[in-house]
Amino acid sequence: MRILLTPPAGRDEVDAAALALGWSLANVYPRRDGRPRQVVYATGEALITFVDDHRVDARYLVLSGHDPDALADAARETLPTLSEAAVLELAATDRVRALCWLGVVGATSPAATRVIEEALESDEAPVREAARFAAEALGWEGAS
Amino acid sequence: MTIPERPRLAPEVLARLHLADGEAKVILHDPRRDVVLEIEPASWMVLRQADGTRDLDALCLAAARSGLYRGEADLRALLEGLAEAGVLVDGIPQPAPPAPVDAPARDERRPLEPLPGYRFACDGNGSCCRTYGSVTFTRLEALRARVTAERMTLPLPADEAFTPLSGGDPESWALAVAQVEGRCLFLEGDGLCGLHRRDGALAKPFPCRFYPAMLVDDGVAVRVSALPECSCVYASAERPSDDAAPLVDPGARTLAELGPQATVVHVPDPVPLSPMRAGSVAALRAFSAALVDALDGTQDAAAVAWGLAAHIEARGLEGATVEAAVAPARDEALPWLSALGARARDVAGVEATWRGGSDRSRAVAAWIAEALADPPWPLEATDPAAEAFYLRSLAHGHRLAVEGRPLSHGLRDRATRILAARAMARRGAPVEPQDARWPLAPLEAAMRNLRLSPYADSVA
Repeated sequence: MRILLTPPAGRDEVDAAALALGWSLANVYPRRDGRPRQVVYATGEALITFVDDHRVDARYLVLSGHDPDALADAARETLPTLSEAAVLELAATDRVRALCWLGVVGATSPAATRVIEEALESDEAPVREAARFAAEALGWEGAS
Repeated sequence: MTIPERPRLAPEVLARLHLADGEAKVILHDPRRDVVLEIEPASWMVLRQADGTRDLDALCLAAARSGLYRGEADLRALLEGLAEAGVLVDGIPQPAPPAPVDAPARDERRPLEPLPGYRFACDGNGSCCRTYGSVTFTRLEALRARVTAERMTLPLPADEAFTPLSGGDPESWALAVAQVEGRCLFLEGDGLCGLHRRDGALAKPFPCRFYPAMLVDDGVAVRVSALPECSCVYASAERPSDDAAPLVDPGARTLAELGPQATVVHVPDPVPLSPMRAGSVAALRAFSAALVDALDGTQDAAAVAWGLAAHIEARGLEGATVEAAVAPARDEALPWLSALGARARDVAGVEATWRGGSDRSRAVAAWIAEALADPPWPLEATDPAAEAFYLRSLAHGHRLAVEGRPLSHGLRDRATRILAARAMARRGAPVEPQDARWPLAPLEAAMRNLRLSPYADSVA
């Protein structure tokens, strides 16, 4: 499960949330070539990875563990986050970024699916690439 | 401000844990730039992990492992502040290049020459334990102290009370103990050492047991003199009590018998006498011996030091005896006294920002600054015998030749200190009764402990 942070929220806000929610800093992976910088926090039964993704200019959390939904609720209460609907609204003004971020938030709505499918057929290379990123992030088969 | 990639506290920086007005804080003093910084103990615990091998990410992880992580921004702000103050360096220590000239070797066979006739007794008042910011322990001594401290009630846990003597190396061989309102952590309310009380004198670190002796090797002998920084040193000279004893073990005949922890300072050869002159160590020995013999309290010690400085600048050590005494005129002495007063004022201002209200060093700094604000003139001796002893002890110990300044400059500096102590006897608030009796003692201690000594470099 991924949670997209509202810009410009980033590491400092996540650190503050970690202190508030009892997440312990567990590891830091520096940015290397194509791999984004990742800061890993842990609780007794979950891992929270903050990804500062330079590839798509997004900062988001990846939650994994026994009960990620509860963890996500706590994170959303503590951090400024963008919902799938908010990202879809962005598509009208910043299509490329919105496509990438639909992948980040794990979009599932028919509207989002339609936006991505249309973009995959676009004549504009940046739009097609962004749609491909989203499709890969969403696990669509044959997207690449 | 850019943080070093793998930050480390510069090895010259002195980190000291203080409890001031009940608040724990760590003071970082960088003597290179005379910078004094205050950080929280938690920040110090994090900073200790900045050993030159960890970058910011690794420091975050180390802090998290210690339960001290408060966010990258917090740590970054700490390191940026320290980097801006110039107290951080990058990476692990590099091997130092060989010295351009060989340092004088320690000669264990050197005979000891104690100050003739001097016997010392501590009055048990504990003023020295309330004076020095660096009470030094070896790792072994610190370990023993922690064991003894289990039987003491301390305001800080002894396990967390030691910082490296300099720099931030957690493996440092030499450690400094925390201070409580400017007092050694182990000093008890009645002025006695808690370590000594429970486990005997050997439970104290070596420098405390050796105090106030100072050793200077002049190539012929090791001169043993008393640091004139404690009222007991003067009281012992005036009237040694029945339990007074030689400064070092009377059975010891050579340096070897004092043990490897006894630090020795070497007289430079040739000896810098003035900006234009140098002399031999043999001539310095003869000069020191003549001064020690001649000073009997009938002379004006400030005039002796001032006149000798002028004589040495003009003619070297030939004929440099107490007969050369010439009291400084007001306009000659004033630049020196003013420089010392200005330095004391600056230091008093800095110390007041972080020391507690009952801290002896804070009060001493304020006293000196007050006494030297528009100093009275003339400044006549109030205790000629104590001043004579002061110069005798310094001369015997070749102290004026080992402080990195020419002898003549050292003599003017000492004349200034004598005059300053006279001003302190007239003006300002003595911190304790024994300070009023011997103001030279707190002044001398402040020269080292409160960093007043560099004032002399600012006088042409």
